[in-house]
Amino acid sequence: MELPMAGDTYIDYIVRTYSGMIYRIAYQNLQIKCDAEDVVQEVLIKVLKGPVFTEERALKAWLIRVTVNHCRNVTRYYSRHKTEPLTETETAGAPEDRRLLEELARLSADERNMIYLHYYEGYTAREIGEMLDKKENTVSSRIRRARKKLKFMLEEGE
Amino acid sequence: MTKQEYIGWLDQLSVSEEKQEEWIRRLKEEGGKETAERRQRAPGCRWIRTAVCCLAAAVLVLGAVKAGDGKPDGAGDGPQSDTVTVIPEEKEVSRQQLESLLEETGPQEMGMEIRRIQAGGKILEYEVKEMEGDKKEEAGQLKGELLTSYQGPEETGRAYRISGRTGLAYLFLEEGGHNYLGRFFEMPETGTFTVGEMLELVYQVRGPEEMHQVIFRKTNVDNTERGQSIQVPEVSLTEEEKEQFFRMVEKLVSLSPEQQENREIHSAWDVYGETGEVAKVLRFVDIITAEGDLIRFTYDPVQAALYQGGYQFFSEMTEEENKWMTETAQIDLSAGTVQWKAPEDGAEPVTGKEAEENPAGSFRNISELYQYWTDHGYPDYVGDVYSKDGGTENLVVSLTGTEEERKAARKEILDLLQNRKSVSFQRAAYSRNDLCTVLDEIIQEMSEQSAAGTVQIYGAGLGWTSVNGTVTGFGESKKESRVVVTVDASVYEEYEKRYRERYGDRVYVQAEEEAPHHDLAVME
Repeated sequence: MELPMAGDTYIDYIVRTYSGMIYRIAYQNLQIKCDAEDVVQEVLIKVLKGPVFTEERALKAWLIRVTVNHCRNVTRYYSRHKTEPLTETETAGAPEDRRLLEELARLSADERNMIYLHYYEGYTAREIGEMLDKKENTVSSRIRRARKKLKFMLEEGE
Repeated sequence: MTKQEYIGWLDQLSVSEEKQEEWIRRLKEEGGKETAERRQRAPGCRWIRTAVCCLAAAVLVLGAVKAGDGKPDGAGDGPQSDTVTVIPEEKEVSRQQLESLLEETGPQEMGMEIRRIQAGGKILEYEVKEMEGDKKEEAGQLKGELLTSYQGPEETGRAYRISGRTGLAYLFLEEGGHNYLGRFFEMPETGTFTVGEMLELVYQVRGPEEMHQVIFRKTNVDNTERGQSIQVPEVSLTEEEKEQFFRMVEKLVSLSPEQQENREIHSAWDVYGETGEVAKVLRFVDIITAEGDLIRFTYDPVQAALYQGGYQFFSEMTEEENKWMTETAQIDLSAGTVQWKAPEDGAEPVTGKEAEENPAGSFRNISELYQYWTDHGYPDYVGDVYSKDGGTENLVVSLTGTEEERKAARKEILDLLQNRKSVSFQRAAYSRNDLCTVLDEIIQEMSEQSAAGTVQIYGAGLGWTSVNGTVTGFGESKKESRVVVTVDASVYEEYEKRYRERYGDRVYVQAEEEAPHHDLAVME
C-alpha cells in the first residue's frame, strides 16, 4: 500500500492508524497508562525525525521495533533508578484490567511482545524474529512458553 | 486467561479521539513541513540502516528521561526553532531540551550559555561557551569534544560532544563514584560497561560503512601488580570482519534487561592463573569512526570461556559466526606465555584408546559440540562446561547421575567427537537444565520485585563466585556451577533460608550492602 506523501496527511495517517497499536504495546510493557501515552508520543515524534518509508509494511515493522525498544529503555531506566510506588490512581483502574495485567506480568517483556505480535497483529514467528532481532526458533519457543504460562489457547488445540 | 479475553482486552485498549487530535496537532507543530519535504526527496529505505537509525533514536530518547522525578519527559517541550536557542539565565531546562539545543548547535561553534539545568534532582550550573581550538582538550579524541564540566562538592558533571557525525552532546553526571545517568557517560581509557551501555555507545555508528577502522588490542593485565600490562600488537579488522562485528552488535542490542542482569554478577569476578595469582585478560575493541571519534569497549575472553552460564553477552561472542572474537583467547604473549588454567579440580582427561581419533564423530571437537549445545540446548546429563586453559578448545564437561549413568553419558559424548583429546570429564551434582529452571524462577521473582518497586534481589546468574577475591566453584571439585543470587544484606538470612528450603544447595545466596549501580561496571 502506498503511504500518503504530504506532511500533514502523513501525520494524520500515522496517528490514526498506528497510535492504538503503539499504545497497546507500550501499555502491556509498562502497565501505566500515562507512561504508555508518553511512549506513543515519543515514537510518533521519531516518525518525524526517523527514516522515511514508502511501504506500509516496513513502516509498521519499524514502529513496532521502535516501540519495543523504547519500552525496553524506559523499563531499564526504571530498573536502575528508585521510583516512588505507584498511587492507586496511576495504576490500571478496572479490576478486570488489573487481573489481565497481573496475568501478563507473569511473562517477560519479550514474551508479552511476541504474544501480542503473534495473536493480535498476526505476525509469524519468522516475521517477529526479524522485527525483534531474534531467531525464529527462539520466538517460537518463547511463544510456546508464554502460552504455557498463561494457560490459554490450549483448550483450542493450538 | 482465554484468547478471546486477551484479544477483547486489547481491542478496548484504544487511544481517545481527543488524544489523537492532540498528538496530531503537536506533531504538525513539531515537524510536519520537514517530514513532507523529506518524504518527497526520499530515495527509499534500507531496512538495516533504518533499524539502526531507529535504535540510535531510541537511545536518544532515553536521554529524555527526566532525572528529577524518574519518569520520561513529555516530548512536546523541546525547542521548535531551527535557529540556536539561547536559554535565558536561571531558567531550568530539561535534559531533553539541552540535548536538542546541543544537537541544533552541533556542528557550529557553541554560542550559548546554559546556566542552570535540573538533573538528578539537583540544580547544576552549566556553561557551554564558545568552542575554541585550544579548549578542545586532549580527551576530546577519546571522549568527543569536552564542551563543559561541572565540579560540585560531591558530584561531577561533564558534557561531551561524542560524535562528530551528529554533533550531539552527551551529559555525564557522576556522584560518589557512581554514574547516575546511565547512557550519559564518559569513556575512560579502560573499563567494562554493561552491555546496554556499550551498545548504546557503539550505536553512534550507524553501520560498517561509517567505521573507519576497528582494532583489536590485546592486553594482559596482571592485577597482582596493578598498572603493569603487556600489550601485543593491534589487529585491525578486515572489511568483512567489520561487517560481522557490526551485525553482532546489532544483534546484541536486543538483549533483554534480564539477560543483561545475568551478566552483572559475573563482571566483578577474577580469573586465576595456574599458580594462583589473580590475573585477567582483557580485550579492547576500538572503533574509530570516519570522523575520528574513538569508541572503545572491553571484554574478557577468559571469562567468556569460563562462564558461559548466564553470560549471554559473551556466549554470543563464542557462537560460530562470532568465533573470530574469541579464538585468540589463548594469548601467547611475546614476553612469555601466560597459561590460563583453572585450579586442580580432578577433571579426568580422555586417554588411551578412548582418546583415539574417531572419524565417525559428528563434531570435530568438544568446542563444536559445546557450540551445538549452546544453540540447541544441553542434554540433561550435563552439569556444565568450562575451560581449563581459558581457550575454547579444551573443555571440561561435568556429568550428573550415578557412575553408570555418567559412564553412558561419557560414551555418548565421545562417540560424537572426532578429536577426543580436547575433552575432560568431571562429576556434577546438578544438571545445567535443572539449574536454569531455578534461575528462571528467581529472575521472574526479580522482575516482579522490580515492577512492584520492592527490589531485594540485586542479581542472579549461573556460575561460580568470588570469595575474598578468590574464584570458587561449588561441589566436591569446587568447579561446579550453582545459581548465585545477590540480595540486599538486610534480607540475606531470610533469602538464604528460603532458597535453601526451596532449592537445596542449588542456590548460593550472597549479600550486598547496597544495590549495585549497573550504569558503569568497572572491572578491578
